[in-house]
Amino acid sequence: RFAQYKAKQTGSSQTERRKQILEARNRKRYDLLNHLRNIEEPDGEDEDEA
Amino acid sequence: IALTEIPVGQWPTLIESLVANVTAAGATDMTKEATLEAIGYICQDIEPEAIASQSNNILTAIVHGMKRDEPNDHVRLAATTALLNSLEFTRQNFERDAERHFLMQVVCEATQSGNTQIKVAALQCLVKIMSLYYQYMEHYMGPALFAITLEAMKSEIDEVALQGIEFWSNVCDEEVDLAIEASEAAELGRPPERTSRFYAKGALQYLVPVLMMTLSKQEEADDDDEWNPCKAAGVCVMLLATCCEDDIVPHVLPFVKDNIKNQDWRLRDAAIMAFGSILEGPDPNNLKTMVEQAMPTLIEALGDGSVVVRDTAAWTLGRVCELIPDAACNDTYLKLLLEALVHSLKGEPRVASNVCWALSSLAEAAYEQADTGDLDGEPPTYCLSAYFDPLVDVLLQTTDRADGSQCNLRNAAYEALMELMKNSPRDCYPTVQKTTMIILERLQQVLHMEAQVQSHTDRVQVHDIQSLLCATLQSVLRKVTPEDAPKISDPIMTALLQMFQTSQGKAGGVQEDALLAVSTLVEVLGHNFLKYMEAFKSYLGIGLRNVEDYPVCSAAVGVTGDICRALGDKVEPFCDDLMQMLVENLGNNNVHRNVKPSILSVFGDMALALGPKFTKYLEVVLEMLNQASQAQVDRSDYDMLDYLNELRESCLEAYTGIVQGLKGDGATPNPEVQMLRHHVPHMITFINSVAGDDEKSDPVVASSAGLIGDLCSVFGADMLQLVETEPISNLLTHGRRSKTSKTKTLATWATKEIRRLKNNSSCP
Repeated sequence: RFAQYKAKQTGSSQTERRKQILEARNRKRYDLLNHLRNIEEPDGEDEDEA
Repeated sequence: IALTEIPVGQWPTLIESLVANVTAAGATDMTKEATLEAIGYICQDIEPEAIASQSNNILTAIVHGMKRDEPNDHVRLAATTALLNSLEFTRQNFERDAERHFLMQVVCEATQSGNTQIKVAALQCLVKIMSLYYQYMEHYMGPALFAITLEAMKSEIDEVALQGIEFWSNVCDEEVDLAIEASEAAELGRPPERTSRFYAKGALQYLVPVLMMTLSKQEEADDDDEWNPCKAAGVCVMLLATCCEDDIVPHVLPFVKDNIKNQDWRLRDAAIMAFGSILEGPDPNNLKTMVEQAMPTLIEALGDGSVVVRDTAAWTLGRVCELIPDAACNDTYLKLLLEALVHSLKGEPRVASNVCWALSSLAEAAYEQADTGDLDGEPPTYCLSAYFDPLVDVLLQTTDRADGSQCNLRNAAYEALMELMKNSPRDCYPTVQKTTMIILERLQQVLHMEAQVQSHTDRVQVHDIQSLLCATLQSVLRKVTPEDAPKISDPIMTALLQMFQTSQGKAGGVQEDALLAVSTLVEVLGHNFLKYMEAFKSYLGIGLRNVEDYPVCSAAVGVTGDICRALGDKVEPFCDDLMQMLVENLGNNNVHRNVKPSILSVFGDMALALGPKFTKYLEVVLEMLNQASQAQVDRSDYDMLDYLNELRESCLEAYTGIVQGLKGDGATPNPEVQMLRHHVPHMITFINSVAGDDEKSDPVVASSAGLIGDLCSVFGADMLQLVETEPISNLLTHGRRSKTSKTKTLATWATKEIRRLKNNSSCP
């Protein structure tokens, strides 16, 4: 509970930074494979709907 | 001894003897107390399944000691504490009405004890019972629990009030989870397994006045780590807002309006705290006008005479910037707000730290709000552009404050700086360039300083700063244009190498952030990173071998993959060594399990980079994948199920990388890809087993679909009999219906590949 008191979340904490790097890495792998597979991402759908 | 013996079926008479100790006619108080304490300790630490079958006996002893007419408080306290520790494995007793009624009666009676310790322990039982057995509480809520806990909240005794508040915080947690379950069930078109009784919503009118009163009982010096009812009330209001959403606003708002300008700082602070606490939960559209009206008062409160009020005002403005950013990022208030925030940045560390956070949220919101013109590009400008350079300046000054280690201020200031860099439009690029050079200079200074520090405290501080500088470097590097990157990469890499060189005994956090900075540099330099490989490879090896500090090892594995993608086949001279270390790590039981999936993914990266030259590693890698793809875990453990999905996704990524890499990107597949032919049945068996798993994650579905498509495009019509199975067909249907565009795209593509093969094979 103490951590919830006047809690502040930033996108730049070490945990967040780690998460973002992993996401970026996955995205790069995906883009590279899509390129090799000749798949074109449908326009406007590069973000998850969820 | 019991903890060791009971789980392996030894000492089967122990619990019976303990129960007899408590219930025997002539048992002394000392024996009863000691026995109940022993039962309590056993219940606290034993694996629940090892003792669940004894729950009836244990409860007999506990209830005997807890009953109202037990004259000895020590006995009653030991019994109540033992009950608290046994609640998790007495589910079967709570499921039976008569037993539950009896247990609830005993606990409720104990909450009325005149002895504070017994009262607190009994209230703790209620808190835990509410979480564990929410669905059985309707019978007791109105007649007993509501009154008991509300009374406890009003208590003058802090420990009692804390439990009363915690009870309702727990109700909120529970009901938020139930709301999520309900919406997930609705999405799947089925009724939820458990439903909310909306106790929090129903109790708002009684709870809020008590919480407002408690909020205004601040300690004069409240910035220490002491947990008290005032802080607990703040958290409880926040949870009530998340749980009850719009319904909470009319209950809280009158208190805010009446007290936000009160003469008494305690009431002013309570009003601002209450206001800040209800900003998340209610519909932001409904809050916007209210927040806009409050802005001038909140900004003014940054200059309040009381530091407590200034702190809460800064926190609340941070919440506004995060949750209702339109109320801050507008022509009316932005300038006024920024001036006040910058002024407060020079205030007490606790206030300044909240201001940094507000600036982080503001930067993110402003960037989000900016007009990009086209879909992907960086916006040309945004509402913070005119203030960007001075804001960066003042944050850089804040990172240098002598009191920066208090209240996490230095971290908060660096994090705000990173957010500003990350969320900067094109017209702020000169400031990004300038900041890059400042960070580099600081990195060089701090490396120089490291040699001179003597004390442990100073060394820790220097390492913290190094870590933050590496992290800031990542944020600026990500903004640097491809033309500018090679111009600054030499001094950056020199500094990073120097940091690795002096990393003996350094905290893992620094090494991890330095490796992540290298990752970013690799990303911006692409194949131009090659010139640093000779110098960097030994440090990469040290990172890969750092088994004790797994985030470092994990970061090193990640950099290895990044280097493979960036250098392509130019990575070849380094691959023998890298592969050897990766394979060793996979087989090493001392390597943290979280590192292993990323190693498998890196096999895929390396295969893609090397193309047919990967064949020399093929047998060993396929053997590793063969083993990893057959891994099984304890399915009752959600963490392990997540891990299994992660491991499977990585296996699939590795297979994909190998198939694509050996095939090559020419019009005709390289002949080397045929070396995989005899492994195809195993890959398909693996996909079938994944497909049949009800717990498979969305990314696993995506990667499976990708591999199915790849195998079809390489091995052609031979694949049809292998992929036209019910599990695979269901998997692809599942994927096409996914909400994630990646999964949908890959499942649709794989389906088309299969269809193409079918069409081709049916044509003469």
